[in-house]
Amino acid sequence: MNLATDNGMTGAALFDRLGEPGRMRQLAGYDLFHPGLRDALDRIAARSAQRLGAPVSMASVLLDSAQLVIGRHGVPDAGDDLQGIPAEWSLCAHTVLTGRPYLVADGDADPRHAGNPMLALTHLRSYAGVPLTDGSGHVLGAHCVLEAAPRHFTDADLAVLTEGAADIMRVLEGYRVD
Amino acid sequence: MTTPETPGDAYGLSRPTMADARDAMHRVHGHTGRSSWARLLAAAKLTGNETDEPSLLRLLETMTNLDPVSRLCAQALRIRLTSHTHLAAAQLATRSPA
Repeated sequence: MNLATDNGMTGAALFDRLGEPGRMRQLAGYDLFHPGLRDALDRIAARSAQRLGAPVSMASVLLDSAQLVIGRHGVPDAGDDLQGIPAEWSLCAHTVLTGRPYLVADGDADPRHAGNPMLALTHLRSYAGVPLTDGSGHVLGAHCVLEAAPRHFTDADLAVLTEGAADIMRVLEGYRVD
Repeated sequence: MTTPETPGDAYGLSRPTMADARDAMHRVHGHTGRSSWARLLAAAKLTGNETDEPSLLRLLETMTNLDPVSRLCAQALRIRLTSHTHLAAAQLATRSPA
């Protein structure tokens, strides 16, 4: 597999951290593929996008080697064919690994992300994400917005995202299967 | 982020293999990784040494139905597989003469 990431670690080290068995068991405790869950999370993503004036918003979980998008707004729906991106290109992976809000004001000018194919191919440049943390303290994923232009996100923007993240976790709890 | 391009890569992303699937199963199942991998191979009627795409797809299908953690592992590999397919097509298009 690809061994270079923008997380400053090898692909194998990134996958080992994301694929920690306890974290994966927590993720597996939710019915992440239920259509009702997706509809509810799409609505939350749309609301965050609207409140922040951003074209794209997502709710995602980080699997061991890929980001799985479970709620979206402004992202072309590729159906069952393409539901996420490789973990080494995922900005949300940074949010998950740090367990804190993660901001990219301008991906083109940021040496951590300047070569990220996901940003280059989508022409998105700025990112703000907050963690999705469950009751046991596991960081399962992230709630984020993305912009095509550079943007310096504010504390008020992060407060909106944090509110959305809390709503996402409340909805997710309704889809527990264990 | 710089990634050396090797043959078969698309934007630095390599296509998942049976070895990647094995590594992923070991990773997400921890101390039961080896037995989970053996159980998966038996259920899929594969040896784990196959290199062809149909065998990998059969493995992922079986992985999806093995248990909830393996299902997520299979989903991650599918995302990588479809990403590679899309990116390889995009890369080909940008390199093709107009």
